[in-house]
Amino acid sequence: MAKRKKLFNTKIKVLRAERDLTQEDLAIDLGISRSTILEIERGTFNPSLKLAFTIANYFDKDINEIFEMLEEDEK
Amino acid sequence: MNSLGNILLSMHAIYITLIVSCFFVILLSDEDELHQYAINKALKLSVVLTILSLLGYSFYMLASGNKFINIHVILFGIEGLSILTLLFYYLELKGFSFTLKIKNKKITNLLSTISIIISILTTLSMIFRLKLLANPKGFIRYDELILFINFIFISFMIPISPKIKQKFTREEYKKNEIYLKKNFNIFLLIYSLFILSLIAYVIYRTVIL
Repeated sequence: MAKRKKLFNTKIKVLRAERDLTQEDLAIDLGISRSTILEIERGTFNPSLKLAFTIANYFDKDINEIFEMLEEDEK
Repeated sequence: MNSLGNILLSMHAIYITLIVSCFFVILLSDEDELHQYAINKALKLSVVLTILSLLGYSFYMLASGNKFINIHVILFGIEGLSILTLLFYYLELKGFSFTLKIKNKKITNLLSTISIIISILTTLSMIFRLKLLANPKGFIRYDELILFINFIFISFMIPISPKIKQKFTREEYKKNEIYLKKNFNIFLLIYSLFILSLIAYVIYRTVIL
């Protein structure tokens, strides 16, 4: 048993803070659970392409501006 | 069955009903991606553990020559699957992940060599009906039992072994594929000949002798 590995960096936390949103607010707006937001922010859960686009559209940003893959996983 | 046995059985039935109800609620609810991911991983692991334990029990019963299975065992099987799934699901949601992977290639090689040796020895023992591994009480011989366990062990080992796949260019990949196909055909030919000769030998032993 081990803690889940970090897969990517994300700017959701920063964007959320800029808009003064809690994880719960964002989860309600996107129609997902708070734990999903938490895990995506930690970079330990890979969201689907659909969810990644939904998040990007929500913050009115490009998907590359929000998610950044870590070098290790690109190999 | 005495009254204590009846009470125990009905208690077990109540308990399993509660557990299975919780299990179905979690399994069939369609929350979001993280939950689906967690339930998939939890199910994978719990199914493996449940099947392994039930198989272990079944093999034990076969080897000991007992074909009457207790109803509690069936209930324990369902219970085990449900409880383990719920437990792993909860842990997965808390960020703890279970992965069955062997990272050391030397261990994998050693285990596969041992497994091949066991396969060969038990197959030979089965063909020549060695008395050492005979099991007069049970439904299956001990060499058969070892071979079955070994076979399951191999199927278990394949997905958890470290990846030996190399990165190829398109040209290298095509070359490698031709080489593999050629070798696989040779292997298939030898294996078919071996099986055919084995069938011929069995027919010879049973019909002619």
